[in-house]
Amino acid sequence: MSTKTPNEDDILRPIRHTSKKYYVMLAVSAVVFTAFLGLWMIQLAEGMAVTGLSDWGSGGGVTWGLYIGAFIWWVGIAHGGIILSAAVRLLGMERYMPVARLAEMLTLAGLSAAGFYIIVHMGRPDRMVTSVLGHYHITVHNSPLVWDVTVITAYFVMTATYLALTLRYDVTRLRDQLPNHFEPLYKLLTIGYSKKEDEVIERMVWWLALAIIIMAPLLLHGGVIPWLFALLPSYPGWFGAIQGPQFLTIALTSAISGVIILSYAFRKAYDWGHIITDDIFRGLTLWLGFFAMLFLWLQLQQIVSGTFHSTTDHAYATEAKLSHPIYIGSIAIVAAVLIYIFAQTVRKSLFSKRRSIVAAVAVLAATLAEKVFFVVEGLMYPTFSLYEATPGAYWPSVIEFVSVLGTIGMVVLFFLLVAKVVPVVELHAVEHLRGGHGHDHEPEKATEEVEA
Amino acid sequence: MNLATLSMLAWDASSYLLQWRYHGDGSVVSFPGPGTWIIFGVVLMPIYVMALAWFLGKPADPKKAVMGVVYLVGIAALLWIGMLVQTLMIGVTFF
Amino acid sequence: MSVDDSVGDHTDDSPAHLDDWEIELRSALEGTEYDADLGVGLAKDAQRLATGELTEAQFRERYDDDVITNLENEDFFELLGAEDADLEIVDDLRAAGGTFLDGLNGVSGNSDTSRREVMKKMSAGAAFLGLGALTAADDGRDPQAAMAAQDDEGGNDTQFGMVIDLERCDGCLGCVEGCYEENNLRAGANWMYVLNYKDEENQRTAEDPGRLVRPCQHCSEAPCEQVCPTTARHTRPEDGLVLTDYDICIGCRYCQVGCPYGVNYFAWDPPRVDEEQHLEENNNHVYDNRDQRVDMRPPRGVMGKCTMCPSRQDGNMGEEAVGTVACMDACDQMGMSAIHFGDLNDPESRPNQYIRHRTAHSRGELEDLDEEGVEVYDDDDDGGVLPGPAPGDDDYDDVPEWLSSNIPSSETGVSTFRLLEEMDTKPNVIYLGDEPGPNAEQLSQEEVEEEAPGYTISYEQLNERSALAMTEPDDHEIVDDRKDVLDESTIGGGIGQ
Ligand code: SF4
Ligand code: SF4
Repeated sequence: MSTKTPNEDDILRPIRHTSKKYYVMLAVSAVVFTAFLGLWMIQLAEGMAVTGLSDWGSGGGVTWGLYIGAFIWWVGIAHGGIILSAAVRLLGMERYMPVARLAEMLTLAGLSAAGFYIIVHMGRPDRMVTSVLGHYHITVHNSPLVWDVTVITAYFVMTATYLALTLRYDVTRLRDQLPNHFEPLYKLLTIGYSKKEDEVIERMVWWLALAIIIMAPLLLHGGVIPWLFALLPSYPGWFGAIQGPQFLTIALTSAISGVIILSYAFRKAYDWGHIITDDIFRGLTLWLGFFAMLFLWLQLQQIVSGTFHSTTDHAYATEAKLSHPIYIGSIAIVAAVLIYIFAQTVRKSLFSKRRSIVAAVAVLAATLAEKVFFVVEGLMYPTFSLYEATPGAYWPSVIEFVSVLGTIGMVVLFFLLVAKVVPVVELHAVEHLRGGHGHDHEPEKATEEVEA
Repeated sequence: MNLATLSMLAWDASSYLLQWRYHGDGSVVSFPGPGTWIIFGVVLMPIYVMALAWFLGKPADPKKAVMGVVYLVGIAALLWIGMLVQTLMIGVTFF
Repeated sequence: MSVDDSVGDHTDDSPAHLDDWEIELRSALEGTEYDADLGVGLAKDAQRLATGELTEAQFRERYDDDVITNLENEDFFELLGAEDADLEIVDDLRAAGGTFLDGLNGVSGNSDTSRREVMKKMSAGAAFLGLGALTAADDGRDPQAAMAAQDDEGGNDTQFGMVIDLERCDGCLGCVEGCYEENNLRAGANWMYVLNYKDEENQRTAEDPGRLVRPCQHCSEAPCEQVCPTTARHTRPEDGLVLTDYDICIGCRYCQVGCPYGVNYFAWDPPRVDEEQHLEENNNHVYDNRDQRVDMRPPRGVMGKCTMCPSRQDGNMGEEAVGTVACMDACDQMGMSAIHFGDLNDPESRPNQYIRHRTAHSRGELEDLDEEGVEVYDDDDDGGVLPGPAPGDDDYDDVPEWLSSNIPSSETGVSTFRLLEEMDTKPNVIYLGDEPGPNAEQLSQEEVEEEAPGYTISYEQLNERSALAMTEPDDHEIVDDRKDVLDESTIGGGIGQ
């Protein structure tokens, strides 16, 4: 643990210094992302037959698969931002302040990846805007998919607004140290800034955080996204009220994992041991354990109700689930992580950041597998199960697999670029770590310049 | 007769605005479908509350509240216009 | 006149599902100059008349001659105090009436109900619609006129659907072939599909399999339509067909997920015949009379499924094709006539005639079976009157094949069912025969060939028979292993089983 005092230079380091490793990462993520874009173009040109998907029924396959699973997974990861903002803004857990903005940016990146998946998943993406918005006033009454589009848009817009509002404070104060070639952008970001506004913006941001915190977990990932599935009585693997809470716990588990990995990467790259402290990792890991426990608890509910004395179709779907290695495997991974986290709370020496990272990566892999399996399993074991002898099984194609790497590349790229433009750690966090909560550390000059 | 004509007009207007649709069996669906109250009544409630708080809370600065709304609307417009351009490009290239 | 008495009493007796129409009727009338109470009361009494709760004498007692004359003069609306009937209001009422009729249909779906009762109910429904059907209710025999009148007025209560007699199907797969030809389907996109299954509950085994012929059910409460984010999947108001507008669909495939029956087939790859050529060659066949592209196979990236041939119904394919569908034609040609397509709301439509005929036959209510196998109804059973000539009549030769050929007779009577009725999708395909139970298991073609040779033809045999497949053997095979076909285009992975 470092005893250094954090200062402005620390949080400006990503903007000012560019290491060789940065370029390597930039190149790698760009290549992976581009590779996927290329494959996607093949899909656009040749049709969705390039995927491993097919029609359910006499088509012998599943019509939704990895794309939809990964879409849900990314929205889940995007929830990292909410958890951290909630902790900091609403619950006053200020020790998480240094990672809050990273987490909020993860929300934007995760939602972008999810949105990208919606388009990739579609047979006619060119009509996405015209057909959906053009009939919105009719379809919003009944189509859960339209509800999803609505709420994801709202979530994205609110998080972006949140970031934009909070950046005004930082950018104004750090303006002098920020690179000149982004000048127009900074001007736009701080348009109409006056020092008086801080208090008002602070209050607005609090309400904004509150709105996001109610809407995103409870109504998006515990609402409209699970309702895509949970409202369809013809799929026993999906139907039922438990999917709301179940989806949410899985989302929070993967979200915390995402934040752990992200914070670790930045800490390592920019020598931020004194900003993103071990303490933060310890706390995040504990949260991971807590959410993993809820995740498993709700799985247990489903298994018990699906096996005890359920209807024929439900019993059948549960049995199929319990005998599938992917389901068993992902549950086992989450259980192992849970055991590790419990063990390290009892015996502190078991904790290490590296182990936390391993746990986080394992959980992300498990949640992705679980989500894809959930989607596929539902379609494989419908109530109308008369198609059993129809040949066919689903295994994602290379394009589908690469889409996961591609969107990860996209998110990494997003962070690499954003970190060059604006500080990814709030100025408030530095001020807080230095012990001051006020605004008295900022260079006066910068403020005046902007006002002028 | 006038009353009947009026009520008919009202019926037509409402069916246009609220998009009543006839089912094959003659029944009428749609407004208010479940989405009407789930989305506009429940899910978006936090946004209404937030907007109210922005305008009514203290310390007050209506200008900043308006700015917040402009942010929200602007970002939403940007998002969808960007998407429209992207999808139109896909359309021209691939379909 | 004791209209008030009739409103509000006895309501407990009416079946719950009949109540919707009342609400609708009332709301359609309320706020207009029409007398809502009178309208609802009259309709209710018509209903009671139908169920026998009210005798005709009682009915006449309740309403003065004026009312009855008006009713007989087909002007229900005048009864309600209107000076003259407005067309739109008539339509609204009719919309409410559709539900009313639907409720009655629900009653008549019960196979215990005799045909006479059914007819009476239908007539009463028509009476309620102001179509002068009181006379029809008189003898319960001539609803045809009422229905015809209704059609003339352009009523929107046509509901196309099918009656499929599973006991007649012999597994020739003619319907599958007919559908492929009609719609230019991709290999494996079996809009019409025939399944063989074993099911212990039904004593169906591999040696004696059960069968299910499965088109889209054209549900009246179609979940596929509800979930569609674009309105591409919609119900055509004039005839209740559930269709996909290929120019709007974004290919999200939620309709396929929402449908409990697995009848949707997405256009995963580019079609066999180039788009432009296809549109040029099939202009009439692709667009329906609303100029929406809803028929034949979908272009790449959008959803397709059985359409029940809307462009045929619209007359685009010639007059003789109106009222037919390709699978039914094919089935008739094979001499099986297991599929009967038509307006389920019209008692004289082919499916309704068939179902009456078949039910009567199963109950042994037919006599005079002549050598050719043409049955004539016993005229004394006034429930059993069926239009159609007897042997010896001049127009005897006009007896349609589907009505006269070898109807299987079972001693216990025939059961009818609709698939997954508990899902409340209100499917419009009515099956005759055994319903597959929840534990029914599909038998593969190989299993059937092995255990019950000849029970069905194989897809190989079908392709040998099919002229279509022979002309274009490469990409127009009729197959049932769509996954394998699609896997050929999959880039890496996508293993079959
Ligand atoms: S069977 Fe399926 S596709 Fe056809 S109308 Fe019903 S829900 Fe829609
Ligand atoms: S695939 Fe097309 S028809 Fe089906 S739900 Fe999506 S947009 Fe609607």
